[in-house]
Amino acid sequence: MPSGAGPKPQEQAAQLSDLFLKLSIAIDQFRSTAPGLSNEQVLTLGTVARHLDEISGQLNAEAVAEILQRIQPSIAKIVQATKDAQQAVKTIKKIESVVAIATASLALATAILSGNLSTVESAIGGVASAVQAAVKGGAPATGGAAGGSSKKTK
Amino acid sequence: MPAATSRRSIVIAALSAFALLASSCVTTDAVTKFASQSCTSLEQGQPILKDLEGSCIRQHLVEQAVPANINEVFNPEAFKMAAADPACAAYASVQPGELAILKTLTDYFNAISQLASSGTSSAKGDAAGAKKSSAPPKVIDAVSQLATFLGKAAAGGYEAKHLNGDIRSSDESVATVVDALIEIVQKRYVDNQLVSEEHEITETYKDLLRTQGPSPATAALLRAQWEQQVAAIGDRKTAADAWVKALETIKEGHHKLAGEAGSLNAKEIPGIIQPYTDSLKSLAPLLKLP
Repeated sequence: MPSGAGPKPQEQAAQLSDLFLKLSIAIDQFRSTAPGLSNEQVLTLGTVARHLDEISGQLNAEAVAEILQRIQPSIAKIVQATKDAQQAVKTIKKIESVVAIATASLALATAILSGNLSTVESAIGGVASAVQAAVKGGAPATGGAAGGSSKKTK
Repeated sequence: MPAATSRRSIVIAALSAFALLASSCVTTDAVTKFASQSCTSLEQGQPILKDLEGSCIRQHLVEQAVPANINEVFNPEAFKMAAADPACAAYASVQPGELAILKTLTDYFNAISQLASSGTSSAKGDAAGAKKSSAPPKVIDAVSQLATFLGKAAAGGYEAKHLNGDIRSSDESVATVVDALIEIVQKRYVDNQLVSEEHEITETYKDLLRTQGPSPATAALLRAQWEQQVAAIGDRKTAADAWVKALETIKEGHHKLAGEAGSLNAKEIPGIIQPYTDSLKSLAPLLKLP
């Protein structure tokens, strides 16, 4: 149930668009500067970054207010997860971790446009566990939350 | 000498009447000029609003994979394919509504200009069209209120004495609509879509060099192309920034007029409103998109 007092769907769409654009730029920056990336990793990260930019564009048009109404309870968590992902991509050096965060973030962005609350919640979990694993320096999260588990988008 | 005194009084009375007429004419003229210049500045923003979709299409054209078959490289369908991209289609879906918001505000200033000069107006706005935008209900309500005023003014028999009051009662709606347009141009166009366009163009060219090998000739050509595109984006940002300044000036000028038009005497009004008109004129050359 959306409350009348909080941010408007248009403001939320603009905020999410901005976050996904910045995340897309951070991923591209990583693939341009990180040493030791394989061609496949460069391609994967490029594909993910482009899809994130694409979804950012759809959110920026603000034609998605109705969809955002359906996932209102998750918006604050999406914002936090995306900010965490962006921060991690900027600071983490381990390639596999960044690839895991990027693909989990794309799963989250895609889930937003589906407007399905449980898919969104699951994808938020995917981003959170990928970030957690990266911060701990361990292997990227697999299994666990759906949506963040796929390692390859293309 | 009674005859001479009476002649002098007639001359003085005639001069006073002329001075009064002249000063009220200056007032009307100052308001007309401000409203007319606002109208012109607003119209110049139309290509900027349309370029949200235009920028998206340019970005997706560059992103398209170059076909292996050379006969398909210069395919005119590429534009249609780029325009059909979900993000560009989303911009296209809300664009008529955004243009309707702009049209209603433009018509409002056109009506003020006409009412202040000739006492009649035929501008109507497009409140119904504005509903196709993704603007919040507050903005749609403000557009409807401006359209209601336009309807009243266009119905005929509008009395000029109501103009001050109508400007005052429209001030909040004008501010709301101007703020909505600033939001679209500043946040969604300059800070987001143009950033995205520049970033994606750069990344696409880097990818081309990565995959096709960094031949110096190819790299130089791509760099020259990239420089042109980035410079054009810079020009678009300049135009959009100038339009945002124009919108702020229009809002402030209208607010000043709404707040002080009723309480100032006729000679003081031009001094109050002319700086806003001058500022809008000085921004006009910057408002052209490349």
